[in-house]
Amino acid sequence: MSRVVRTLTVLALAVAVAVAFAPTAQAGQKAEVRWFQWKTTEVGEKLMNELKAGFEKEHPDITLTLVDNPFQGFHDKALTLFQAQKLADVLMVQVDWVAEFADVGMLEPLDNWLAKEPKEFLGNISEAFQQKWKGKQYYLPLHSGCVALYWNTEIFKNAGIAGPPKTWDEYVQIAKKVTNPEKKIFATTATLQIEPPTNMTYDIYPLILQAGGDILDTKNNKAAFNTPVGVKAIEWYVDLINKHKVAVPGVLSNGEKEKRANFATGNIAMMFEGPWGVAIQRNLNKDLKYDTAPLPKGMTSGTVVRGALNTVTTQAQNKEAAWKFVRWISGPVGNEMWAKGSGDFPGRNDVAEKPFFKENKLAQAFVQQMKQPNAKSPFLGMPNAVQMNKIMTTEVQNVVQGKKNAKQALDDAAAEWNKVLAK
Amino acid sequence: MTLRQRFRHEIQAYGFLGPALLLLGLLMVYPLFQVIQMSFYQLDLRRAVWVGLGNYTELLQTSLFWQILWQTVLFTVGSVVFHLIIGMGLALLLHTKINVRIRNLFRGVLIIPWLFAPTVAGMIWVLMLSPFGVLNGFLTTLGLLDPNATINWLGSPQTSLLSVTAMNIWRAFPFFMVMLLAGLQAIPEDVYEAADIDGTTPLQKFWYITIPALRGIILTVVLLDSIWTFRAFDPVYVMTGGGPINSSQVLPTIIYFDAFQKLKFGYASAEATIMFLILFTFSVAYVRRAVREIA
Repeated sequence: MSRVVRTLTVLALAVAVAVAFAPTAQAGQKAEVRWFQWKTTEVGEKLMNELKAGFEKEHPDITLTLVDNPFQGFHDKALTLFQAQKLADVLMVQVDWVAEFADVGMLEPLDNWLAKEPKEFLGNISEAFQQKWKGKQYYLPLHSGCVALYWNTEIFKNAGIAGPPKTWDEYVQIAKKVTNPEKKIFATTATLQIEPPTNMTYDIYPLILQAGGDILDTKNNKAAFNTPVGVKAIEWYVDLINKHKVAVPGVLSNGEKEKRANFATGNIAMMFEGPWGVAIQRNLNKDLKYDTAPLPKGMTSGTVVRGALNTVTTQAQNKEAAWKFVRWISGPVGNEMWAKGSGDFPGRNDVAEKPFFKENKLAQAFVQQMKQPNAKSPFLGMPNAVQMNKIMTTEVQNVVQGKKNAKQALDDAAAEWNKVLAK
Repeated sequence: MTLRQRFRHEIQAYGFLGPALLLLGLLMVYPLFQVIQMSFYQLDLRRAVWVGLGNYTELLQTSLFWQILWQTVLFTVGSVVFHLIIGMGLALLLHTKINVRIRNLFRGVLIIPWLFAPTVAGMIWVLMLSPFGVLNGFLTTLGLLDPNATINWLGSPQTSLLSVTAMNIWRAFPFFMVMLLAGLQAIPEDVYEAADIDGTTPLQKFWYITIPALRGIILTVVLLDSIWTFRAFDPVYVMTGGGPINSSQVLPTIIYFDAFQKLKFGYASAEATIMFLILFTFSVAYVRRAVREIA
């Protein structure tokens, strides 16, 4: 009998121990962070797995799961997943999507987490990426980059020109000198394709900033470009096409793809482009002789900053863990790992100052440009950047076609923008 | 068969039809109903506000909508008319009594455009029509274009819609060619022989024998092609994105842009409903023809 009692006692104890330790075992389970991004297809699995290992080593309580989707269709897919309540924990976004996704309720503000960070954390992130939407910060940059000038050293040398233009006037002079339609050599790549309307980044917004104007009045949430200096910028641009005839033909249908392909032929003297263009040119024509420089100044300097950002979604299963990843990848360790592995322009100033990045000569013009006044990312204040860019593109097309003058076109664009911003 | 037996028979028939009807309902009727319902709301991803016919009123008062509707009609009519003319011409040529091998070779070659996906065909034409593309080069060689000048076929409001229509004509004429050739081969030879004895000219034979004999096929393919072309999204999206200055925008592309770029789902649904009503009239005509043929 006593044997039976003893056995039962041991069993009861075993059950008690199992029950007592069960919650501990559950608490010890790793949190999972699903990172929805388009980078795996671009940079390859090797780097992504290195990043995963790096993050998980520093955060042994979190598993990072990479959820990849090609960039094409990424925006629509994110919206669809949100509607289906299946959005990942961390969502990679373009600058153009932040306000739109935040308005829809997809993104979690990061302000409370950021408030606990030491001052140097945000201090090392470009000012352009500290722009809030409706008073809240929703993102941190993975990589950044602004628009600068690419110039074909061969064409310049053949024309006896010493270096890139530093002002608008110099730009026009050089443009007229190098353009030779008979030899199919053109000075500049004016691109006003409507779909996708991404060329505003390169062709129009930087010029308005250089003219001393602004794109958005973020305080009053209104369009700010329809001013005399904005008009001057558009007129200067349209003159390149219609008056000086220095732009490569196909202005109204050429997009980023055509612009890069044209420059890669070696027949185009100058192109406005971001640091991401270096790898693209290498792929298109590795023998092309070119250099980079800050954009020519109008009344002042000015450029548009773009980049890929990470956000914590409102549907994240474990928001704290998701924030830890966003913080890590935009922090000094993760961001350096990313910049080294991908060749992208770092999202942090301290990483851009590291020796490995300083060795990259072509990137230094972008570093310089980022430090000059008016390096802005107007897209972060656009609740529907695609629509707003389209409105602006159509209006500039109207000016090129002589259907409207620059003032009328900018006024009409501003009226349409204000309707979008008022929603 | 007694009434009861007939009733059981009917029940059994509907039982077999059930799954197919259910699928049809789920895949066609429900989404259609949803779109029509959405068109009465001001709808984005945040809220849905009932506006009744507000979207329709706004739409019909917008001059851009009428411009786009007109461009869609031009694109459709231009495509269908030239599909018919080219398709008929080539079908007649392929029906002539020439060397069988050559005839078969041409049959195979001429079908090729139809094998391209619209997006692929569009991309090829974008390259051909670019300012430094094949077409401008060809025109320069012929002396029709100044060597220092270029025509921006896709980037000029005057030629963008024309260029997209040309691509669409090239891609889809083989469908007409194949259908009409099949029709031509079904016309008995002795009818033409009798006409020859009566001393008719080739044009008279074409007008009084060929066309009436092909009437059924022509009507069917024209109706089908009108439906397909009216709702064609890819050619415009791939080649011009609707630009410049909306000069090549058509209904399917503007519906996509309004829904997925502007997130105006209600407004886009109203546009889609109007497009559906237009296509529905074509479809009714097609179905009535098909039913008549079966009867």
